[in-house]
Amino acid sequence: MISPNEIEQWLDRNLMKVQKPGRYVGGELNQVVKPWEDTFLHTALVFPDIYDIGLPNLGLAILYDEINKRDNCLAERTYAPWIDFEKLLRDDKIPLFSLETRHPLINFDLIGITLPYETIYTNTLNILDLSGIPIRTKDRMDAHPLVFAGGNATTNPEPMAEFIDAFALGDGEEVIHEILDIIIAGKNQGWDRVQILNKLSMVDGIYVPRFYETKYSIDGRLQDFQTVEQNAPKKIRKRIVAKLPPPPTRFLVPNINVVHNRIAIEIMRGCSRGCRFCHAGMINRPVRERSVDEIISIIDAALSRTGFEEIALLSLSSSDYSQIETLIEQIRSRYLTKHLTIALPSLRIESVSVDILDGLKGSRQGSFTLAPEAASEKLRNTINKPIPSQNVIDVSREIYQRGWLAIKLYFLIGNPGETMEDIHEISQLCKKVLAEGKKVHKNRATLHVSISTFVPKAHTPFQWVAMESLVQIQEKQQILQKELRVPGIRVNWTDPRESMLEAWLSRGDRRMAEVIFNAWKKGSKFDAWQDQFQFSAWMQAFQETGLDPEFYSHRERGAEELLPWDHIFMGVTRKFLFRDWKLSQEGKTRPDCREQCYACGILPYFTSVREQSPGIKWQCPEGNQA
Amino acid sequence: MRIRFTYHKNKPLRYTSTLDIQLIWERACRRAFLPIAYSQGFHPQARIQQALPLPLGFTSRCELVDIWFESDIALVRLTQDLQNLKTLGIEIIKTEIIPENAPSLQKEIDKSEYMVYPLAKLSVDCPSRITKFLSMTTLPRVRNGKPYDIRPLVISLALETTSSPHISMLLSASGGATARPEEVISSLELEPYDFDYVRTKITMKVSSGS
Repeated sequence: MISPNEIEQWLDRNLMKVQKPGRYVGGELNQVVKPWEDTFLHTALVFPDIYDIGLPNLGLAILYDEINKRDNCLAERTYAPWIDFEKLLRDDKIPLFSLETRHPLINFDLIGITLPYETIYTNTLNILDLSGIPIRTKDRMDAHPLVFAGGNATTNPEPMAEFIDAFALGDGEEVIHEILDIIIAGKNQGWDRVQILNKLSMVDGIYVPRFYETKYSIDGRLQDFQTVEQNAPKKIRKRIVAKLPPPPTRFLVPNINVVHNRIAIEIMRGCSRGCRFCHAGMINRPVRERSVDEIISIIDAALSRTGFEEIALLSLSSSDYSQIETLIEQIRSRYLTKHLTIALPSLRIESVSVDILDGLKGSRQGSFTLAPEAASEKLRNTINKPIPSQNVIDVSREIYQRGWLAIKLYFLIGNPGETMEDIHEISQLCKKVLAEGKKVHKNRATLHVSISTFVPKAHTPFQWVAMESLVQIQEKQQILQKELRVPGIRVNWTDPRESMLEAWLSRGDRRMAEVIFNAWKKGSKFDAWQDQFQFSAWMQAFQETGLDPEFYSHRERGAEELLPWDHIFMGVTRKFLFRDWKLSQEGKTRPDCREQCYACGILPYFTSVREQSPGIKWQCPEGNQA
Repeated sequence: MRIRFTYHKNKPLRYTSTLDIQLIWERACRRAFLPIAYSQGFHPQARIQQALPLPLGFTSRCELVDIWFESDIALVRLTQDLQNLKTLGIEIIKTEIIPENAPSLQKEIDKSEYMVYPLAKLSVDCPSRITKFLSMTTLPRVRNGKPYDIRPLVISLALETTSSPHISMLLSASGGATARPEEVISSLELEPYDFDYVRTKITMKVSSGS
């Protein structure tokens, strides 16, 4: 086995041959390097896309902080090597290594992979392969690292079940310590791999796929999902933290430019709006907020530890944060003269107040983003995002009037029940918004329209629906392209074939593993990169596997059908989701659940979690009374 | 107040570009709450100026940067507050006050000196290649699609057979007449990736007096 020293020497000779060699050397401010030999448990955290995208990831930053806080554990990092560097690694048979100490990944006890989106799956296989770790769990031996995964895409873990030893579902801050404790105990007491996984499977929020078996009916649907290990739970319930724990403040400050060079603070977790297409809004319940005082003290600490020029206040719907105006005012008065940009993404149109806009005015922002998603009243009711067009226009006017020259609007096409009339309404709304900008800034006003394609996701009210066909989506995109060919409007959209891939993977079952494996074998990787994505490789992979892609993307699931992810409970019951789907078909909405509880499942199923931290306010109505 | 720092750019930062080095200085000042000056306008930029961009992959014992501050600060405090840059790979070796209206760093530079260390054993005919190079009066090359003559840009070139053998070179670094050491290596028909490059000296034009 190659030593870290030998890897270092190899890097010295080879890094100048690749683009952005700074991706592969670490050495950032606030990097934690612990003595390898003196630390008992070695964890590698992996983001399966390039450094530039992975470094700012907040989820991994939290885990890096949590693990490195423990004396007996260390956490190091690695990212997907770009194609040029991968070639060098493969040519010289150099295994993938960690940035901190250059240890090959195979030498770690635990590998934690974040899977925030599905189009990162082939990269995950590639990283395991580059590390010399058997790709399938069944081929791994006791000496191999345990491979864990978590993140938004793992709420339907089945397509990746053959490759990942265990999944951690939900909030990671507490469960990571339980995972580490078990692996430490296992290492101390010489447990074998199956013994360790057995113990892990008994921890709330951990899913070990090898302890379950599936059966399929002749028509291809899932017929049965059974536990084959007596200790493994029938249903795996996600973890939630009752109160958001103190977040990291020692953010890694990269030595090269990455996608977000900033302090990221999660001001609130969860969302109460219940947009029916929104996966994140369903799986991250309940809504928990941080106090303004806490946020300010985090910013203070993080500024003195990083020197970053930008702060991002993150949440799924930042203007719904109950103290948003106070927060912005305090940040403004405290940091105004410090050349600091405040990014407040994900503002909800109906809760963006004039005060918020005034508070943000003058901070170094490029464009202002709003997400109406749909432009017709009918469709807005379908997706449960009932924001009148007039509201969008009024807010846009206020934004342009405060000096912003550019607004960015997000739309989603292909929603259930969408007609061409709904598509025309999108272009009409865009033109009206730009007209408001022109009243203020004349021809300097611009509008950037971003058109995404709706992909039905597991654990949402639309988990049963059939996705639109490639042809339908292309037709709608062409109409918008034509109608929005207007000076001042710039349009971009996602490649519908990439949306197809997302659809297959996000509602796939265990058989999909073979498709992912075959696609990777055919050279698929970096599927999220437009210039790397190979649609034909995926189609061939389906063909070879004998599975029909349309079965996964374009088929409406039956009311009684067992869904591949039904054993995963993300806090929202199937009953609630099904009822919400029916309401959608009737054009009925269920507004903000902070006003009225619709019994999604969080309160009854997480009573004990809430009781552990009495007095903690969740934004659920009953919580307000507590 | 305009301050000139002379510093070593050490191994950990050798893959960080000149533009990103600028950000490292800016952030270090921000962490220490030093009153770094910003330009006016919609997109204020920190007032930081560097001399002669160091190619990616090189280390240096003589980098120069000028930073403007809004108010006067004791040099002792500056050095102290910025000392932690050392762990990142910036080691400050000199801190001096420069008149506000002094010419820009880039304009003052005349020559730069490099030591180029082989990563493996140096080929035996290296001395004869150097002799051949020096005997020529012109040596046309192409860089980024543009033809130029590298020979007049190389002021001196020698093989140093000390305990750690290396090639030393003094190159023109004035305005448009700048030679790159890896191009010199390539002109010697050696593989540029087989060497480790260190910039050891930047010489200013005589009039500036530094």
